[in-house]
Amino acid sequence: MRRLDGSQQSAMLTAAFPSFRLVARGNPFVWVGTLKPEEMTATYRVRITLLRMKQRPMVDVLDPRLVPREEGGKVPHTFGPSRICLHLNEEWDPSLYIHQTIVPWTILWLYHYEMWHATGEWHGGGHEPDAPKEEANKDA
Amino acid sequence: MSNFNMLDQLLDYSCRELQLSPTNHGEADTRYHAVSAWLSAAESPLYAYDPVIYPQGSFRIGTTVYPIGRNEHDLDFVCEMNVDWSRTSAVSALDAVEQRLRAHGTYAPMVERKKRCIRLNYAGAFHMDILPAAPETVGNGTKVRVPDRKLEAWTPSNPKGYADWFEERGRLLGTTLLKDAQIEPMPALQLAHEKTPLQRAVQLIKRARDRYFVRDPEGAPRSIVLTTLAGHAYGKQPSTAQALHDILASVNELAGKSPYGLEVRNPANSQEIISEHWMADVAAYDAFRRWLQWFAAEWDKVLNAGSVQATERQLSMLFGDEIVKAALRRHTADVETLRKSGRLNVTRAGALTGAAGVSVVRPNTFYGK
Repeated sequence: MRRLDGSQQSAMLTAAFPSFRLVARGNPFVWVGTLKPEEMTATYRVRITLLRMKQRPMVDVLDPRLVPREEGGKVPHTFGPSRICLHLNEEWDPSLYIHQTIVPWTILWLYHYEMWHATGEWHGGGHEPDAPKEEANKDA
Repeated sequence: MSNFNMLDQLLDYSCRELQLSPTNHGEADTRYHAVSAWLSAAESPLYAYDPVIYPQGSFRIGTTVYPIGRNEHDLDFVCEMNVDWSRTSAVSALDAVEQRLRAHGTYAPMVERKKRCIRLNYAGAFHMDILPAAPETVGNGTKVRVPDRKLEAWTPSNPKGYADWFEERGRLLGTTLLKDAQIEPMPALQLAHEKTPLQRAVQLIKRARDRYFVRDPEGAPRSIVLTTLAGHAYGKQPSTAQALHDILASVNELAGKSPYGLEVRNPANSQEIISEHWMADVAAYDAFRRWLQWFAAEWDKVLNAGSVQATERQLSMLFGDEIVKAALRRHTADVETLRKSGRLNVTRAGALTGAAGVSVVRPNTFYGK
């Protein structure tokens, strides 16, 4: 398995998604860009953070901020107020390109997030950490 | 023109929730052919007049909308008979059809006399209104005369000609698919194009009318009038959302210029005034104008909603949340079907697409609570 470094990720990510900019280089690498999953959805500004030591990139939705459906509620498949959970541990490794994995998953997540707001149902599937027999990455 | 692929898809799915299901449609076809055979059978007193039943109205032109509060469609049919209407009493034509239906073991308990037609009350999804008709001039054109029990007279009509006019008004020029550089329609949308934007716009207008006038159905504008006004106003827009916007704007302008009433005639028979109820009821016309103005403003809010949730709220308010939720579920199911089959892609602009993109959405599992 060949591990891709931040510069290689950055070149491919910004070429595939021109709205993305590299805003920090080194440790961590940080990119910010906008995504609009469907014509009807909002345009979301998201931040992708790649810590060299960490296994996987972290994705935060910056604007508009994620909100629950009711006060005190919870947005599905998130860790904390802005960080979204896109995949199981084994579904990503440093040989994979962010623009081919993390970004498409983020777009799909944002689509399901809006559909969830509209219908009250999450139709994107997924796993919860407390669900039995899950081998999931505990670090967000 | 704006890009309304997702909205159009939701509207298409909403319309499918509103209309007669394919099963019920097939059932209605079978039943009216059976009734037609019974009326025209050799032993039938009507045999000499060669009765033929054919659909008219929303069933013929593909704009059925089930009524609020009951899951029963009104389906309209014409029973055209070769009689000289000028020498035949209108009421006797109604009576003749009624008597023949009452002679049938199954139909007899289902028969109900109405002002202009004979109704067959089937158990289930619809009832069938059969309107006797006579050719305006035998063997020449599609114009007919239909009986009016109250007036005891034959009044002019042309259901076939009307349907032909509506079909022509709805026909799109060239290819019908929406094209956009960034967001290609999902395949399901492409398959769903058996209905035209005009048909869908009419279905949505009727449903919005039914909801707005739910406490005052007698004061509501008639479907035939709304359908005709929409047909005249439609400018062959391939997008249903855009078509509805333009139709509402155009009819609103027309109504604004006509404060005292609007005369609407059957485009296929100028002798038939279909807006007659407005002549007798000024309040109903005023209510129509107020509703139209309101609807146009509310529709603009749909077009500018800015999120799925805001769109859903607005559509639900106009058309009912059950059909809109069902439409959203279908959209999600489309996306998930593409995803599972490895055909869901994303574009350079960060949008989902069923067409080619910069990257496919690889299998993943959303994790976390």
